[in-house]
Amino acid sequence: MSVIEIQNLTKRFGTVAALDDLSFSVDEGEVFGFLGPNGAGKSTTINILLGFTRASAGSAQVFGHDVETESKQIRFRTGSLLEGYGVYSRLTAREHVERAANAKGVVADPDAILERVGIPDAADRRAGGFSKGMRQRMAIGMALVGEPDLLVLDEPSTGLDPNGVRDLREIIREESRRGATVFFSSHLIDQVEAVCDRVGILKDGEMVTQGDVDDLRARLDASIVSVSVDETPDSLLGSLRGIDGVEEVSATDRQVVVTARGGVAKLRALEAIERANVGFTDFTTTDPSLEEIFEEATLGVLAAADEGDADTGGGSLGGDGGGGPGDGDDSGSDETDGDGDDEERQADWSEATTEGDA
Amino acid sequence: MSLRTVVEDDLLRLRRSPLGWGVALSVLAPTAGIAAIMVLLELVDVTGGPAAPFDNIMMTVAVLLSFLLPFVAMLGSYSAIVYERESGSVRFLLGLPNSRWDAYAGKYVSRTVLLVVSILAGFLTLALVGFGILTDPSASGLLLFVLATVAFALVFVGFGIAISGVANSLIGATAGIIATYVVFRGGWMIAQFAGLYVTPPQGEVARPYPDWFFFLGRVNPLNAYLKVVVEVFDRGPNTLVRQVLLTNPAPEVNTVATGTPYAVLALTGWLVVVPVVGYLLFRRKDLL
Repeated sequence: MSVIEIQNLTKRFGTVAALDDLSFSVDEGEVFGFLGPNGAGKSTTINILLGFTRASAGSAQVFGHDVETESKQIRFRTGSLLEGYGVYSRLTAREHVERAANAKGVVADPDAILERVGIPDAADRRAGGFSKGMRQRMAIGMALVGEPDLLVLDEPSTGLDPNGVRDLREIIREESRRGATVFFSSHLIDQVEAVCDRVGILKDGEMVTQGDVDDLRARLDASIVSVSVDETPDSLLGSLRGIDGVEEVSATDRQVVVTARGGVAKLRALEAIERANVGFTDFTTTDPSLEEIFEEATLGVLAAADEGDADTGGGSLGGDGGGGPGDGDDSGSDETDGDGDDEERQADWSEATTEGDA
Repeated sequence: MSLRTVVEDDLLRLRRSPLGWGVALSVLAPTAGIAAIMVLLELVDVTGGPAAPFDNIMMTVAVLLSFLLPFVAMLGSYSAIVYERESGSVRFLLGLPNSRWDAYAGKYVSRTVLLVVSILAGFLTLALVGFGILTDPSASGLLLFVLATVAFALVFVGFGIAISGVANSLIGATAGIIATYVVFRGGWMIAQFAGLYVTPPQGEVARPYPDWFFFLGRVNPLNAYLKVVVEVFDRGPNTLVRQVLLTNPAPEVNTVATGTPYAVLALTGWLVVVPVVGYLLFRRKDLL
């Protein structure tokens, strides 16, 4: 059953189309990552879903309620943390949570909620004196009031320190286990990758791809094969570059790194290295990260490759074919070079990496 | 439930903000302030004569309020919604299950409470002094004065909230209330006389003025308010208020527009139409 159902949604600001015929759905209980570079239309979509902005065309339902005519019913069941919110500087954190509970008509324990989001000692302090991170934690607490059936989070990690980001992930996982649907909008791919079941990537107001992260990896079908060897002769590197599907080959003294698209290409590369008799001792394959999928989707490489397959159903890769670059901050491939951040991410996504002995 | 929540939240914030106290003190100044001055004059009593007539003091208060109250009422309400949009707290206000009606009506009610409580406090003080010191006090007159003043204040609370709901920025809303005040305070009369100048006989502004002049003039809520108060504390045809502020009609002019019911109707019209139109515009507006 779909909690969010968006059909042919279009929003124009003057002559600029912020959303262009957008269609997708989010199922009950799933954690849906809504990705896109800055200006892609993520916040506009959320603003329409919550009734802040009117659509120019198309329709959207949440819990089966129309977002324009039944917005209040939607928000009774929704907890939202929206980018760019401002706190009531003269109200305390406790009063903020109490206001959320009053508006929803539920009984809530402000102390328990503020404890859960990590600011129990700030309950009776006015929010005007809070740091950005404290405000963000308080806002997360307000979103959790009343155990909402849907959590809409727009850039929720903004202002949070690493501990706060980790706490946020844990809260999202707990809410998901409770049965809540989570709509997680961000341009920070690692945040989305860490918690989401399914992602949709928005660019220029259009959904360029969506599906399970694993499905998207499979569709990207590119991975890195790192092979430990005793030597790396130029003849080997040349033969690897000649294999159909191999996109890039590099080498150090004792390692060959091959970027290949498709299982056959990877197998042929491994066979070629074994045949070269260079002391093949071990190999590792690394599947593409969500960041690489995002880069492919927003830079239009995959979209161009899949042009014509513009079905917005699950797992499809949309074909805008525009090829326009995303913001530099928002894209960029994960080189998995072994620094701490990457190791942490690899730990979160261990299933993305397969290892084998030769 | 949500409407009540919005009202309570807004009142709590007003109680803790300089704006709320500033508005209250600005209303108390020409009411309780005048009462305090009367007490001081009575205490020093340099002339030794009788105390001032009640009606004269009430008219003085009314004239002061006709200048001050429109701006203070709009000042107390113009930021109610647009500030929430600028600061981002509208994402809490309307991200929670509050409808736009809850937000708009809730803000209107809370700002009304602020103004009405301030007016009542001021008039209570005025009543104590009036009945204790002044000559010929009138309970019914004071009651009608209070009712007219509350209605007059709410007209401009309505303007403030409507402007706040429609404006896209605090600067825009500030410009809106200043423009509204200027139009009613001076622009309206300029329009009346400009109308006289361009209508036959062209180039002349001669009495008796035509009926339309008064129909237009008495629609102005400032004029309507003073007309009502003058009727309550009638001091004859040659008072300053009648001569200057009300563009006093010559004796031969006798239209519906110069009557008190027209003034009451004009105040009631503004009281209802402005907030309703403001809400209808706010209801469909993109807020983010």
